[in-house]
Amino acid sequence: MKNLTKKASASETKRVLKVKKRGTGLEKARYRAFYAIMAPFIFFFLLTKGYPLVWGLYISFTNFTGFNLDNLTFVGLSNFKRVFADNEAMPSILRVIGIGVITVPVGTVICVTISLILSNTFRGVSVFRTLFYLPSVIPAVAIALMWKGIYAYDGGLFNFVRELFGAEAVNWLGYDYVKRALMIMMLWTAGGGALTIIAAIKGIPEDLYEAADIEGVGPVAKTFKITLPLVSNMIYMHITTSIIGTLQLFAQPVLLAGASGEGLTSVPIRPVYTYLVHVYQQIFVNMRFGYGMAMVWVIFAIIMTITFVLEGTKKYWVYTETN
Amino acid sequence: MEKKKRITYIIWFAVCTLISIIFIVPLYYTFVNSLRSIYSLPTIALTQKPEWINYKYAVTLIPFLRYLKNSCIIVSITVFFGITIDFFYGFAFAKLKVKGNKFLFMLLLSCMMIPGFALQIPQYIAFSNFGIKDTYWIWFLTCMAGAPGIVFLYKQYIESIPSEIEEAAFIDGCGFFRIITQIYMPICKSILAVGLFRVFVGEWGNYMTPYMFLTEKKYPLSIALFNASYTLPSDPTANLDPIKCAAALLYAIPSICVFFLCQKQLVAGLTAGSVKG
Repeated sequence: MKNLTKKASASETKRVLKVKKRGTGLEKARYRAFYAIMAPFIFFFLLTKGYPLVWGLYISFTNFTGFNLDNLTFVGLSNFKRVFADNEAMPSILRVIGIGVITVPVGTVICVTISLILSNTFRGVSVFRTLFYLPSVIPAVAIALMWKGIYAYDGGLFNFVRELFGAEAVNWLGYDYVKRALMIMMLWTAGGGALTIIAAIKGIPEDLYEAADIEGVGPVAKTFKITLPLVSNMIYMHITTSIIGTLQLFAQPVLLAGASGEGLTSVPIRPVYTYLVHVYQQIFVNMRFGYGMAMVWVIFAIIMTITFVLEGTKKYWVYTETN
Repeated sequence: MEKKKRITYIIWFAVCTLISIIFIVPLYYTFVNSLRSIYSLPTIALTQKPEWINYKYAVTLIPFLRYLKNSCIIVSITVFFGITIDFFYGFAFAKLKVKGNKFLFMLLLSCMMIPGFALQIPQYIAFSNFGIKDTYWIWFLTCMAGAPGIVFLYKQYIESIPSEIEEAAFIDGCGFFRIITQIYMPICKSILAVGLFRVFVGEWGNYMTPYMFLTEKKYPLSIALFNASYTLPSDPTANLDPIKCAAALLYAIPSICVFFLCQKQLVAGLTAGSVKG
């Protein structure tokens, strides 16, 4: 009996030793596995992102026009200076900001309201969640084709409604209304962000609400004092991504207000001629690669600045858990 | 109390119905108008004699099936890599915390900050230099570099799984390749579904990359439909808006289907992903 325990404990020690040895082996294996997996990542990352980015930064300081690779001239900061002198560039940025000033707050309010409603549990709620999310699943090109029909002058849905109320039909895709038309189309997909916020609301511990019930807190106060502060981080994320998205507004105006048949190089009318449309024109129509890249870096700098400013305002209204 | 509950329920239901009408009307309107005769004015109600032939025209007047095939090729490439290689990257970032992990992860994250344009335009020049313009190799290359958003999604999820599983498997002599494919992938089914959904919807709708790198013959549906000018051979001047509506709906159907298929996992996966925010 004694012998047996001894034997057992001996084999036990052996096993522990083996495990320990394997333990360091695990570290080694981790190391090897990490770099084995990361090797293609590093290679393709440098090939498809690193190299083009460095190259893109370089050509923004040159007069590259697509063909003169052999005799590139280094032009210093002149491309960047031109961005501010260009009589289309700055107005188009202001135009985009003008659109964003409306769509971002309205879109956020829509998104948060939807999330607040749909985070309740009642019969049929999952059906509504699906319905509200559906528009953001539909591809942008299909959305544009659909809305072109809705905005049609003769018998289009919007003019039909206007006439129903006795107003005159208007040209929704014309000079005076196209901006509104674009914003309505963009807001249609505002429900897309709701799913994340609903998930966050569902993650709030139930006992907070129970405590509030005991204190006799009403539903409105509960929403504003518990729910919204606790998901403010998600709302912050939503606002940031919407601002970045709006500044990069490109496809929707071209798809909605550009001439069909010319692809992405067609020029939308002035009120929706955005900054990135201008960039696209410079590069793929005028072949001014250097200048176009400089314009891209300018909007990148603006995006970074806005992101940092937003990050700075975070401490005033975003609730973060501190350990 | 019971009565109050019922009243709030009715209010919620009414509000939701009202809002969902706003969201559904454009889809409904497009559907109704895809079935009207091309010589009639737009309607808001289903016409008495639905012209299903519009859908046939939508597919036959332009090489719709060729575009569809191209779309399928591109989407299969991205989806395949989106649920395999991205998962490996996500696992490596989440579980293999060795020297260099943090640095490479920061590199990946910094890519999410750069606007798509700043990358795509120099990519356009670079890929032309590689001589792979107008081929689907571009998708292979960019997918191998990992989609930052998807890798990030996987990483967040995998980190929440206890490491004991993988340690135990390793002691039993299981290599990391098998740990990932046979242990982690089945556990992470729901987040893989989210990844699949995101990659599919993103690539199915992507018109920018194909337009830049491909020529008409290789166009997928997205850019082809935008460019397409439908003309009826028997009547070239006819306004073919109903056919365009039909084409738009046909094009949107796969995205909607994938959404419905992944819907359950989508909510579950999002909840899991949001725990760490």
